Amino acid sequence: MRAQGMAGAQPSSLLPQQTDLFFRLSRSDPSQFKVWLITALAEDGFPSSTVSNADKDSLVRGLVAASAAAKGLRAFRDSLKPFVLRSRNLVDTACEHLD
Amino acid sequence: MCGFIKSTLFSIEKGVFTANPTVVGPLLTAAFESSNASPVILETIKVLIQTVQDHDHDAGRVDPTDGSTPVRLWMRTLLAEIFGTSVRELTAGSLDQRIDLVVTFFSTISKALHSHPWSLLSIPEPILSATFSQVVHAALELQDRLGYIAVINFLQDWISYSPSAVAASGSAHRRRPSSSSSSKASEATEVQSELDLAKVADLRREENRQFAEAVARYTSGIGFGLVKLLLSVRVFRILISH
Repeated sequence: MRAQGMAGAQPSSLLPQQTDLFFRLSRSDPSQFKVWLITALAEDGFPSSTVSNADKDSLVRGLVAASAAAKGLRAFRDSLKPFVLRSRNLVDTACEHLD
Repeated sequence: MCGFIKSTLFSIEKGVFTANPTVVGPLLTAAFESSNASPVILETIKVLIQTVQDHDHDAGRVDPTDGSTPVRLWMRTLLAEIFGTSVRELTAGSLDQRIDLVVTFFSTISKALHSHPWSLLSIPEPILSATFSQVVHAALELQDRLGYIAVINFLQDWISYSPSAVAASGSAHRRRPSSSSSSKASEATEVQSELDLAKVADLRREENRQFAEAVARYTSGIGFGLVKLLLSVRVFRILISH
């Protein structure tokens, strides 16, 4: 597979659209969302070797909580951002402070 | 020619040159197939889909068993042909080389979902499944920004689609202003008109209820099945992947 996706080489300018899609996915079937997420992230080293299992657990917890929250989309973005930065290996860089 | 057809379809006042959807539709689908799925023709078909309304020609003739009407069945045939040709063309080669078709195709089916949900959701499942399992997944891996955004926008529309919203928009579509009142009408005629209007309103309500039920039946059967297919682990992995 080519370098793709929000955790990969795709431009970060596409992140709002991808996040919005994720958010709608989470709202379309909340009961299944957690299962899909855990299954998708189960593989070691996916989406990036810089992401640990703890990061994945944190992401799942954050997204599941955010999808049920009143201001869900904002919370969703906030939960997703650290994960995206970590998987792109951009933590502790200037990119961390960009929206 | 396509530009001319589009302009006549958009015109409010129907004239001599206004394209008749039942004549133009098959011609456009045939041209679409023979021209290797030209995006220009698909764009014209999109306008056709937007301008044809559910209540055209057959107001009130909703089949209570499955919610079909002649217009909806006609539209389903049209959409199925477009799907078949587009999927065949898009899977024949690399999507990167047919970005214009990808963009127009997803934009067209988004419009079809808004304007004719029953027709779209009742397309034979193998055709819809092929679209999702081949074209959507492949389009999510596009490097091209326009193509990628087109598929993301379509998925957002598809996932946000709900039967209740469609039923509401369907009722809005079918609501027609009364044009029968006349200054010379007698009081008795007005009372009769009001009774008729109430009867028509009852029929409309019943029609809307049947329509909502039919859409709900299709979404729970085919549509939501496809959403689940769409929400497969594979899509998650493509969206997040490295």
